[in-house]
Amino acid sequence: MKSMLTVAAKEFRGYFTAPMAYVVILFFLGVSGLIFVMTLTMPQAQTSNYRDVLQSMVFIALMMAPVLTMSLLALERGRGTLELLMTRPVSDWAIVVGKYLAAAGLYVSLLIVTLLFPLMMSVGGEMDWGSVFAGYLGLLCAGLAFLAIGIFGSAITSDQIGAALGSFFILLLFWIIGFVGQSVPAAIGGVLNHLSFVENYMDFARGVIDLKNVVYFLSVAGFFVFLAERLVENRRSI
Amino acid sequence: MSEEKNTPKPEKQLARGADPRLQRPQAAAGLVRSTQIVIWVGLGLLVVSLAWWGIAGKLTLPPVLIGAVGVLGVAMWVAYNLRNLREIAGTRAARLVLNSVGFVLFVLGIVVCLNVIVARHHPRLDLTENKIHSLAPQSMAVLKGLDNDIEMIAFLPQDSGSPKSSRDLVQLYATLSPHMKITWADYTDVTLAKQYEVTFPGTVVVKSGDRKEKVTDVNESRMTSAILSVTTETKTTVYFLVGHGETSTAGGQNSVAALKSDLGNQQYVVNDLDLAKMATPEIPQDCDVLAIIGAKQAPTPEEMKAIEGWVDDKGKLLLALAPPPAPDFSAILAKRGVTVLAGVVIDPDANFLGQEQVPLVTPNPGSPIVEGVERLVMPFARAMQVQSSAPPTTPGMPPPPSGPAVGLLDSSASAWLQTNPEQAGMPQKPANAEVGAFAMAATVDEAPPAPPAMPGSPPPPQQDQDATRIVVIGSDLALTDAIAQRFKFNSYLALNSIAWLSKNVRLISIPPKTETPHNLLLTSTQKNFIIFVVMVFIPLGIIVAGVSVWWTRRR
Repeated sequence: MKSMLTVAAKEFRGYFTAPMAYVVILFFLGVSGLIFVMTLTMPQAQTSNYRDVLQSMVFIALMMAPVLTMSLLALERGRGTLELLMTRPVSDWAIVVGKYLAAAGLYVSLLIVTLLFPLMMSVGGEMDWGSVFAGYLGLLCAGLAFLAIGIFGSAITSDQIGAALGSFFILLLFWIIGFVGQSVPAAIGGVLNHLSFVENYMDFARGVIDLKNVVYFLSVAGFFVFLAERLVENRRSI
Repeated sequence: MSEEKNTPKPEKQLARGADPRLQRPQAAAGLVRSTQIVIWVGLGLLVVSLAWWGIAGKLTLPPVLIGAVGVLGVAMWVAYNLRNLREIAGTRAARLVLNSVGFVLFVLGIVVCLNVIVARHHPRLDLTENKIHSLAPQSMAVLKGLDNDIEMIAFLPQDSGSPKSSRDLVQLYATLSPHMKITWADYTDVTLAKQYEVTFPGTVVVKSGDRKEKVTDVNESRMTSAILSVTTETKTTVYFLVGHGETSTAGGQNSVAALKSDLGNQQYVVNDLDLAKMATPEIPQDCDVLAIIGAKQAPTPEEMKAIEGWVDDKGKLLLALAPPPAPDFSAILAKRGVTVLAGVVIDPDANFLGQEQVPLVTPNPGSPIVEGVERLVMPFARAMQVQSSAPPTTPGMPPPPSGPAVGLLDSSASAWLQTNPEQAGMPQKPANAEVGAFAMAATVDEAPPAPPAMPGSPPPPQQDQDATRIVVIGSDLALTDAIAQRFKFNSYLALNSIAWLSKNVRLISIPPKTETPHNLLLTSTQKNFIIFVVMVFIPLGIIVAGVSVWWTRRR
């Protein structure tokens, strides 16, 4: 546990010494902020409705996650430092989960910054804070799943761009699977809908916390982190 | 490096068949190629079989046969290559990979099981301000009272043809009661659509045993009514009195046709009643509720006697009064504490868009008739005085029971009484006009109220509930289609009144829940500040930090 936290802290600090992380942060906060400002300044913006911003932010998080995680394992493999790290008394779990926690920590920090948006909106009108809370919980759960897929992509290859593209492809697949589900028979459509990120996130955005959706996102997160750990361990063993 | 190349690898050589004794006969080479084809054909057939199953939506004989041939092909290939497979599986790397794959599949199985279990029983928390994604207490009471399983066959396309809210609502019913089962029906399945007589998408068939009910306009009120319909044995009969200039039930803007239709949807039996056509005026035996909506002429003495006698004998009456000089049915109301005044309410403080003859009323809380009803418009409403005949309180004794009449809708305190409502133009308040809060609707329940409990004593037993009940509404116009279709809460007033009268409390209509719109009022300075912080200050901060990191690392 201690080694895991050490890895996490080192990686978290590492984010702030690499220019790429700033580009990603700028992208997330800039685009989210732009959508928020557009929501405020639209002529028809007469109510303090934050739902549209939350619905947009989840897709921005989806685009950001592969870039945020692409270097975590792929860069180490590319440089050959992963093998060096494995010679230390640190388990594969500690390496993978530590790096994942670092990415999750940065993501949570970004979400905290975006809390400024509803706070500023509340100056002009009463907010439905219950809905805002549910939306942010959804963003957190969905983000954890996105980052897990990102770290899995990073474990597959030593090429960072390949890792980002691979994870983005998987994320996009989970995103559009719900739309595919609308045009297939009900039985299959139901399963595809259950697997869809959109379907699982929409309840949160509407202000409903459903255990089914929470479990889904955390399952995806847990399973892909587990897969990443398996890949790292297999590579060490073989 | 060259040594490594020259070092013989017996395992590989054996595998490649370097030893002529181990080589397959030439004739068998074709068979090997055939087995390679077999594995691909087998896998292809399996894919075709699964795709067939998926597209057809059910497992029929052809995909089963194709799948079986595919499995046979794969099995043949495995059997033929068993030795090679064993050799490959025997290597350390293969064992590790197989172990890992097995472990991954095991974890995947656990994850899938967990999700399936949670998907079946998942608590949900509606954090919205008005709980707009939850069912109303009335629906919850209905669901809790279910003893038998109910199937909802939902012909709800997942595309834009049906709003997602409909699917969510159906799902919500299934989530909240173990007795509610959903079958997501494929609308393109003509056989199924014909079986349930479904003619257009967006329909939900609610079925319990042999009884079924179609819901075409999927909303909470309709769904709960349909559940009641397939689970309730007896039906309530409502008669609309005609022949005295009452509001028509046949159709048109000034009719109550929509009310009649809504009652039919809620499983009431609705009939017209013309007492003049009877030799001896008499209220039918099967009449559960008598509705007199906007009678312009008074019934004949014989008719009045029949109505009064029926009401006195535990009758249930809905009375919506037309403006003066229409009859005020004082013979029925006065002795029960409701006095209809000679005029209509003019409310300068609470009205609809400045029209003082159209009061806008917030109902008095407490009655199930107005539960969830926010505001009602009451055009040209007859004013009433409601007297609750409560005896004086004796010190030391429990509080007295209230009388049978209770005010339901009151005007504001600045309202006044216009005695000549037919006068054109804006009403002019005369100097001697009666001013005050007037009742515009009232209920009468003659069931003896339960005596209040003395402190420390057990709760009183339930009284016999079957007694005269009356709902009197001061404005017949408030119930007409023209008003009720524009102001949804007005339609609930009539439906809920009939439900209360007939003691079908479970059929009380459920007003739709709406999101409270919070107005966003930002000054231009506030807006500019927000834009500056979000679009300039935050991005600039990130850029400065990033450039400084880059600069530091460069040096």
